[in-house]
Amino acid sequence: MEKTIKILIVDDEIFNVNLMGKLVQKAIKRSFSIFDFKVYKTTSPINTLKIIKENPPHLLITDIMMPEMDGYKLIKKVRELYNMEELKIIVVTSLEDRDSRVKALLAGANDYTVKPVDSVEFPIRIMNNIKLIESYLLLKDKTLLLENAVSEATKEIKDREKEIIFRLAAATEYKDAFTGNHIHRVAEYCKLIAKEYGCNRKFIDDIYVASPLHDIGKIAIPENILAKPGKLTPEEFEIMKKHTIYGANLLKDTKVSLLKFAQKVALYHHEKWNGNGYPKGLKEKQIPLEARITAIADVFDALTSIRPYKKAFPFEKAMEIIKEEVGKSFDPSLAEIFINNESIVYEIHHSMKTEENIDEHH
Amino acid sequence: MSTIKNTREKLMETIKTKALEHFKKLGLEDEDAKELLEEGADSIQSKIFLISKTLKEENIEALIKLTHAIKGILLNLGLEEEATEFRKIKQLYEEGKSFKFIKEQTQKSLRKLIGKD
Repeated sequence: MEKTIKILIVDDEIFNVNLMGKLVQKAIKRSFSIFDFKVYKTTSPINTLKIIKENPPHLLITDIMMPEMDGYKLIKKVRELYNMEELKIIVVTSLEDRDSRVKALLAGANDYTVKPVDSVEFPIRIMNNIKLIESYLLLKDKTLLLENAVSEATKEIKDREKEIIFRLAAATEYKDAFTGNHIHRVAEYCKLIAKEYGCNRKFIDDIYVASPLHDIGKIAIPENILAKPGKLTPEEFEIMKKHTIYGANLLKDTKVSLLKFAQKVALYHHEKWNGNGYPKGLKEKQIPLEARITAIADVFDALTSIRPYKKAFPFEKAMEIIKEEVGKSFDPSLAEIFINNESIVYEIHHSMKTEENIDEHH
Repeated sequence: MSTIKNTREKLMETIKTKALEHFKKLGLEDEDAKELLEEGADSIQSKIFLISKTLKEENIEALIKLTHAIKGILLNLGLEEEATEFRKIKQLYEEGKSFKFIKEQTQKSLRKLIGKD
């Protein structure tokens, strides 16, 4: 929190500056403020602008008729940098006419008074402005505290949201007979592709949290099909394909944007770039971006992991399969990002390796 | 040199009492008041010099600015009557009076200030 109220006085006459300085000091003593004060004085409007840029005061007391730059121009320049709350401006001048007063106020002065400064009125004006500055600084401090509190609370909600989703997705994996880090690796691969593709921060955060829900619909698939060690019959495969629709149904009719995002991932992550996927047979960019990204991450991780019906492919073999599927199963530009970032993909694969995806060389 | 000294002394005679009284009203300490009185006198003296120069050069715009400046100093010294003398100069200019007339009025105002009138 700012603890010092800074006051800057400018008048081309040193006598006027010093008189004003002494009167301001007297007003400060009478204001019983909880703040400290620092009073700067200068006879140069150019120097005033320099001070304001380097060490902005809270109150500027200025004359109008000055040789280097008149007070109107000075006020306008100050207002380009600070608004009327951030920096208060009081004009003290011997220009007594209405036009000058209006001109100064229009330029952005908060207050206007004419010389000679009144023994009663001038300190009151200073004290009133000090009170306004105090209120502004205290309010600014409270706003900052509130912003921090909101930011912390938002982070806590997001962390909680992420943990619930990951745990929910993990519950599905238990039923699917494979445990471990599958959902975490898929999330990491998705984040990598989205980031390198140039997606915005929110999209990257959303895909990281929503992609683990891609197989949530498997919760509705019978265990004898899910955990079948051999190849599925055509009938069984038709049932298996429905996990995309079950997943979408589980996530539908939500107002939560993250779950809407997750619904698209769940429904479309088995669609293929060439239109040969399911459930709708969408092709190319008809398939939502989030699903096109998740498809690569999911397939790659499935390839490098043990499944009831297969062993884990070695990393290099899985990469070869991804390359072969460019333009067939996968969006070429996204798959290219994945392939071009092989070392990072390996790092994720390797650092989050568990029993189910230990490479088995054939 | 002696002219400058005389001007200063005469100026002080004119402004001292009223200025110190004004500073007292403003609630200033005696020491601050004395310091400001000296600074005020310095400022006026320098403006008198510059005004005399612009009168010789017949630079009316500079004259208006200087008479405005001296008016401000006099007002802050609590010398309202003396300030009014210089306020009139701008009015004369705005009324379109000749430089010769403005010059005479300015010299008259200066003489009042340094007690030569």
